[in-house]
Amino acid sequence: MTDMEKEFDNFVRDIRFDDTSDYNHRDKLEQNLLTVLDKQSQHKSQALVIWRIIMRNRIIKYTAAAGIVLVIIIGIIELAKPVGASIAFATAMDNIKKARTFSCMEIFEVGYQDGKKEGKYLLKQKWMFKEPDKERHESLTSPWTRFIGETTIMDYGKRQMLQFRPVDKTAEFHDMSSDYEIDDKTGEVRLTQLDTSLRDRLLELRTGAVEDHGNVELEGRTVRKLQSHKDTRTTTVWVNPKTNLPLQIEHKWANQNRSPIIFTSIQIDTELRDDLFSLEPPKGYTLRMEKSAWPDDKARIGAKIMRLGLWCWVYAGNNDDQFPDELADIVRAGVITENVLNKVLAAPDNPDGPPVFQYRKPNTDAKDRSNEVMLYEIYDQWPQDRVVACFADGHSELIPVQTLIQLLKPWPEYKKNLSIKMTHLHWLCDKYTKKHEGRYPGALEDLVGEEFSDETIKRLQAAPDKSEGPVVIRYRLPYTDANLATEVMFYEIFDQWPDDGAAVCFADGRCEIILDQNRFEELVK
Amino acid sequence: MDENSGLVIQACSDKAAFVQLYHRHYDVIFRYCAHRLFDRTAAEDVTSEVFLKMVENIYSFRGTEEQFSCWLYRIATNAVNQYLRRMNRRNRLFRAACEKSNEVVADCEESTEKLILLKEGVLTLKPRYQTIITLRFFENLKMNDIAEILGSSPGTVRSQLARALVKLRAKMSIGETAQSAGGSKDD
Repeated sequence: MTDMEKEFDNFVRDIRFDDTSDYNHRDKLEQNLLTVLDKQSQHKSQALVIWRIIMRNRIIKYTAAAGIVLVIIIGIIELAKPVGASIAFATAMDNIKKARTFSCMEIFEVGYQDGKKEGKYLLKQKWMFKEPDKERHESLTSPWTRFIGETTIMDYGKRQMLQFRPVDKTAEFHDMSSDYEIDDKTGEVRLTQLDTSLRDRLLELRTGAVEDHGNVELEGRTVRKLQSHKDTRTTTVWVNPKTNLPLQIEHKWANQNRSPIIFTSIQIDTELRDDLFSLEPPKGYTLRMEKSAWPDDKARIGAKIMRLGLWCWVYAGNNDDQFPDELADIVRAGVITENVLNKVLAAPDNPDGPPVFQYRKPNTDAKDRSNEVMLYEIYDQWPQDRVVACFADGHSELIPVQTLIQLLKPWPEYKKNLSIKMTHLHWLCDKYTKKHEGRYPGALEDLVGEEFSDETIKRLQAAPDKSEGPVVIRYRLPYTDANLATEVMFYEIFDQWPDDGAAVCFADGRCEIILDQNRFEELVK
Repeated sequence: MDENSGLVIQACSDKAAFVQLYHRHYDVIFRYCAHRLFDRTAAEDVTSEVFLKMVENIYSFRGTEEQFSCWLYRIATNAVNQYLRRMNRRNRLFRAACEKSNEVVADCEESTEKLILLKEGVLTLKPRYQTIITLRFFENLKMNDIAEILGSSPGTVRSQLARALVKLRAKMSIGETAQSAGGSKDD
């Protein structure tokens, strides 16, 4: 306590309030509350069910080696506004609204990039949820074998998540206590929750022409086909003619580059076994406990920056892959309101304050969008630690400040990527020196331990486009009493002097391309 | 903060669990409202509002059992602030509270004078400062807990507490001076 707090505490210590509970009031209130609770229970059996139909944009994984590539969505879901429908159409949608459980398969074409390899594949994923707080997601297809069948189970009540992969029988258990998201309506940061608001994007269809295409065959049975149009999008619903329950829903756009999105095998209010949402990994799996790599305050920042990134993606999806020139463009385009944008741009503990993020229109011609910074935290004075950045491929990372500085430089791509790896290694060495009384690691093998494996260190030393290849970055133990700004700690190794110079990283974390070979040899001797 | 192992989840569907949860938190919330409003009738009204809101939203509560208490405090803080704004009764409340405290605490004159001074000071602060003062000194919560209730960082709460105390000190010093000079505001 400060002196002033002690002074006040002493002052109020013997003050007596009239604050003794009246048990008559307490008991009467209890009866009223139980009555309300009863009424709510009856209502809940037909309660509105919220269902995530749009793919969750969880392109979030951080990897030190940058070996895992992130999915680039071509078919961006349009954030639909209410359209309305004919009675049959509305009834079909209404049945979704009333479901307590929901499951469906979602299918659409997606592009991907993995180093130099890129292509498209048909993404198929199964969604299911059980109110109030359980969700399950299965990736049925993937361009990477390891992720085929990957299943994620989220329990928002317990704030825990289990993810497992049948291909290699591995599983991770995550603590979600610092898992945050943004409320699209208010721009506020909140803990993640079962996302039921997305149901509205399917259900709120603007009043428009609804065509009844009569009975058609779908997977061997007779169903009724209805269609609704909004701008360039056509929504088709195949409905069970007896129950009016939707069996399949398709969104299709006139733009040929935009993949249709199909929701099929729709099941409403069916029994979903509890074990589908169990947080116990399957038998025989190797389980690893994953702690959040992000401190809580950075997790909140991360939620904001990822949301901003997603909105930029939505804008690009609607504008022929052109990102906004400035963030105000996403307001003008109607993606979000100005008020929400301002809230998200502000610091988590100061929602009415000034922006703490900087937007940078990404270079969409860059080969590797995963290194193209689009949004980053800004400071009056840069912190010694890490900052959050969002990249043009949609993923976000917590990276050392020097890495961000390198990413923002207009260097040739190879040198830039090399220097990014060097700054990562520098940051690891910096952590090491803090734990070892200012002593640098004798060799990079000294860094191997709980947090980082030998494999991670080797990947960081390898060429940017050959993560499994030979080492091209060498470590040089700096003299601790030397000027850190001129003491080289990492440098590029080569067979022949490169025409565009050699990249080095100094002990103060700053990187430079040395064009003069003599100077380079002097620095690294 | 108390831990209610599994009780929150059970309370969504089990009446006995709900009653247990309610009983665990009723006194705490009522006292908090009484300390904010300086009036027990108003405190009872607001306490009712808080628990009604709790019932309406308990199904959508997402958090650990520890966070449930913070959540209730948050609801209570908003309810108290709304009450004060809605009724616009700060001055009437102050006068009524003074009269009542004079009746109830007649045997402890020093406490009464301090209470009057405190009310006069606290009720003129902005709601956020009132909340922080009350949670810190009357609910004895830690900075981290207060920060969670208010959705701020502990650092922000600490600096706001310091500012609140400075303002309070200035107001209460002025109040003391006015009283010792020969009369209260109500004379």
